[in-house]
Amino acid sequence: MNRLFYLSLTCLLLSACETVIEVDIPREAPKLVANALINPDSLVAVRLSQSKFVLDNNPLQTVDGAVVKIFENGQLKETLQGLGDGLYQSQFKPAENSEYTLQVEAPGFDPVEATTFIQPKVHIQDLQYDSLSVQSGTHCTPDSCWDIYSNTYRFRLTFKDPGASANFYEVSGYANAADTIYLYDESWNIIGIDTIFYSTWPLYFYTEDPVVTNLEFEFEGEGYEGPTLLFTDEIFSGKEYTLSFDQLGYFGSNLTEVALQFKTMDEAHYRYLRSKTLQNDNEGNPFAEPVPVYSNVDQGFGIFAGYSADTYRLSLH
Amino acid sequence: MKCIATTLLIISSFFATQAQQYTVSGYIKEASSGENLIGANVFDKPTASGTSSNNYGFYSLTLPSDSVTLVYTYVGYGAEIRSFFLTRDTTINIALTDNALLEEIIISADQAEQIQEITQMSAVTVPIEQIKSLPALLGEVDVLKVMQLLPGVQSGNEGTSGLYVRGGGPDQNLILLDGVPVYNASHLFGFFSVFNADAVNNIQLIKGGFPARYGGRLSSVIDINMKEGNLKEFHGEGSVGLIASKLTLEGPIWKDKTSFLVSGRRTYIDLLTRPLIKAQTEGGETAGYYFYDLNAKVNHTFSDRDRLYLSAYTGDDKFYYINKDQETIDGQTLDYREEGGLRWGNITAAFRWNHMYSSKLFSNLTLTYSRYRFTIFSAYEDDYFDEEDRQKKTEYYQAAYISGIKDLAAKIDFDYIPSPRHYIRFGANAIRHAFSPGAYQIQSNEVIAPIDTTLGSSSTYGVEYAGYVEDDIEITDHLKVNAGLHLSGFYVNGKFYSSWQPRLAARYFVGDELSLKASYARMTQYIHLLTNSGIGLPTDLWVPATERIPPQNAQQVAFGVATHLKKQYEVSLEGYYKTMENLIEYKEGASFIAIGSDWQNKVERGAGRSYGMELLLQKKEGRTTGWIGYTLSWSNRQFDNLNFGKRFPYKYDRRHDIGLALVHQWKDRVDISCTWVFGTGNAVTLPMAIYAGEESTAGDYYYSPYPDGSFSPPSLYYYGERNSFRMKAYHRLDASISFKKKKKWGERAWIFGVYNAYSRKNPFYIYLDESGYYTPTGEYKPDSKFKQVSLFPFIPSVSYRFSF
Repeated sequence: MNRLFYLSLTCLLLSACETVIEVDIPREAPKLVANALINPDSLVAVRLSQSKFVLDNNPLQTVDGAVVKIFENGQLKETLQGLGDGLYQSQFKPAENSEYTLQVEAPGFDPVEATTFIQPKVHIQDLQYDSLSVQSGTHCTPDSCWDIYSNTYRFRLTFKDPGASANFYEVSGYANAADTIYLYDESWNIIGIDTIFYSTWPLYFYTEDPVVTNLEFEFEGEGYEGPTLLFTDEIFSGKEYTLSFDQLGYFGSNLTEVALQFKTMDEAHYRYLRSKTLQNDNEGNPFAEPVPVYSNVDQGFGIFAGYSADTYRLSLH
Repeated sequence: MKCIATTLLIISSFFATQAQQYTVSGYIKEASSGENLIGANVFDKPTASGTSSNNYGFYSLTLPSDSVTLVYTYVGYGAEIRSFFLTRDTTINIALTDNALLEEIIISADQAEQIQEITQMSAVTVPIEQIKSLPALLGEVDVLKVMQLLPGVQSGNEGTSGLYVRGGGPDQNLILLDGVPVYNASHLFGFFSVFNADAVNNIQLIKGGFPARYGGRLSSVIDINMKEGNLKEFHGEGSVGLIASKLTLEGPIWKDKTSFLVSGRRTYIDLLTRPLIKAQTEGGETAGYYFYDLNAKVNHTFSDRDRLYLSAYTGDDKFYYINKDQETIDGQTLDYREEGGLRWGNITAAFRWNHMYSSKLFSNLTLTYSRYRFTIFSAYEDDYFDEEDRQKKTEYYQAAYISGIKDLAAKIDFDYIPSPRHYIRFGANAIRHAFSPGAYQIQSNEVIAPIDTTLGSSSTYGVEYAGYVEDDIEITDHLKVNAGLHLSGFYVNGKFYSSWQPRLAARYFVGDELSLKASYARMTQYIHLLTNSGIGLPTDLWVPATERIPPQNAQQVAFGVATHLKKQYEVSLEGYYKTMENLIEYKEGASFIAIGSDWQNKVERGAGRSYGMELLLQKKEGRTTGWIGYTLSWSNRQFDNLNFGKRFPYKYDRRHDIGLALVHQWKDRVDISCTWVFGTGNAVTLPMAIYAGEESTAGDYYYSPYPDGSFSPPSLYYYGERNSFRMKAYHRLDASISFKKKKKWGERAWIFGVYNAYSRKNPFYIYLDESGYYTPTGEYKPDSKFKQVSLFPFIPSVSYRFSF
């Protein structure tokens, strides 16, 4: 509907004329960009790069030769080792319930600093599923047509929100599937199975769960779809909650296993992910106010945020 | 009623003085048409006291029993003088004649009440004839765009008729059409306003120092009174322009008692293009756009004491497409018809009853209905041949998205004029708002799945009450004060809000010709407008204050000086400071309200502040009339969750704004006019830098750097602070010339005009174009640049106007 509306407005503006103009935007010196999402299961990896002026046509550049320090609860924990390509890695893995501070000094840049707190893991208590055969299309031969059904899976993920403070969650994951390729005769009747092969792909979620759609600016009833589910505990703070979501299947494909990653993150991490998506969504609409992406890196750009993740594997039959 | 009478009795006795006094009252009308003259003056020379007529032309002046000399004046009209000895309450109805029709213009020393005399400040009236003489986009006279030329009033984007008064938003204007609020006053995405100037009698704009009788909006009152219809003779007026034609007919049904007025306007781009589209598509398809306005009024004078008015307005904008097809099976004609489009518009209706209880007490009862509705619709009707029944059957499907607001209101207002030193107004009103924030209706008789359903949220009802009392008091010969109190309340979903709004305006004479003015007003607004575009689109949604989103409040103080130069030029200089709270804006990233989703989750609450200075030099009479206005202003907003909580400039924050409007009667039959506007560029948010986003987030790929250290991760834009850049300054000259000629049947005029005479490429919006180009060797070169989009270049227009 939005599109229909802007379409008619665009028709009206067809006579509009465009000119290239000079805008007096200050050409500020490049700033350090530090990006790292840290968690107790991995070594800390920080990517350093530098920002560029908006009209600079050169590609973005990474920054090497910087001094990158990590402090744990106020004490210097480690000076990270540069691996090249702007990548710096630690020897240690961060711990839950700890505060980490990143300090970066690089020649030619203002030093930058960022702090995060690693939330304790919230466990997936249960994961249930139903599979549902739904009509996914129609297959036609020169003589006749028939409906094609594929398996759609509805998952119900249960967890308990700790409730002490605001919590922020993200669900992502992978699926293993057995894909069947059928053999057909001249009349397009299935006469046998050619091969079964196994594949893995990132989950793509579809949900009408209010904790997710509540945040979206979509039409009600249309639901949300995307590669991750991002939500807060606003509605269920301190309570057990069961989130439901679907994986849409396609003909000939059956899920054999899903591996879910359930992240508990700090607010900075959440705000970064959310604003990044919104900036992307609104790009190109001249009548919409642009969305600034959240950054917690003082004197620079980027995100330094922690999370802890529970993983859960479920076999499907 | 008893209560009112008692109150009045007490007030009367309070004001009673020793000397015997009598009241002169009546109506001041236009001589040739019998139209009410609003704001005409009555002045008694010996006692130097006076008053002015109200919105219905009624006046009342109580004077000591003595010899009186009453002078009746109105801008552009010859004065009338009545001298007599006042021995009892007297009714005098006066008809004033248009200067243009007078052989010899009587210049009276006591002209209309001068700007320095009135207590009301921050108010401007532009004579309607002047509005009609000014150049207009495509020749379509636009009342609201003329208002934009006044100081303190900012226009929004290029060509649109939205008004931003003293830093307020477009939703904060109370636009009254014969006392009925109009919710969306624009056609064609704001390029034209809904008011047909041919049918307008009087317009007043109030920007601050609001008298207690007005309430419900924060920033301005635009009080538009339509003509009532000529009581003497049948007349018509109209025009044929490039995009629209209009016609107004008026006349007596019963001479001097009953009159009517009907007025219509329609654009015809679609009528002209329809045959072309048809030819292109072999007759099957049509598409187009039009808007129309229709006003109808009738009034009846029962006696000097009672008069009834009925008026209605309807107007719509419609974008549409129609697709038709036909085939014949078994001798039966089967039709297929598909249509869809967008449609939005207002309907207003008003019933008003003027009653004069006594020569000192006048009342007006108003019952009104106002509806704004926006619809997106699509439908098809398909005839098919049922093989079983061997019959023709029809399948249909209709879907519509509807949003809007509907008001029912009742209002009673009293004017009580006990003595020349007091002018008391009091009254009360109640409005029932029905908000429909968006519903999706589907109906179908399709064989497989018949549907008849409505999705989305249901209507919300809110009731707004208000009562007020104000008195325009002449305390001394130098000091006059308008003090009042406006009380209002709003009831929605079990929640009740109320508000006390004191209003005060004072005028103090320093010498004979110069007055100082000051005012304070507190305003409350119980409805919000959800808008993201900021350009006043029909999709903008009216919503009520709720438990979570309280009503908007504003406070404004203003100080000013008013005087006149050589009796011809009115000069006013004012400074103001205004604060606003509980303003709403969409959350960052929200862009369009979803059906049924709760809008309250999608908005942020914040505050606004604006201050500035306005200078207006206006000339209302003579061969050359017009004004020049200059505004120096600041307007900003502060929202906890926008722009990281930091205060930012409002989109239409405009440091300097100049509006010039001139109409010159060059020869007897030739008028020339021009307008020139200048404004500081609009505030915009632009990207300043680009940087790398985090790479490992699910859904993104891993971006491995190249050997030279460069890499192409998902890039993010850094915008700096909100609205921290300015587009280029906006300026534009429009001009027109009209050639009038008397004909046997009446008068005609040819009007030639130009919009944007020197074809200034004014900025509409700016965007970052990141496309590149290929070199002759086939190599791709990125080439980022900012581009400015401009809308209207030099546009000539011609129109033909007639009146009989």
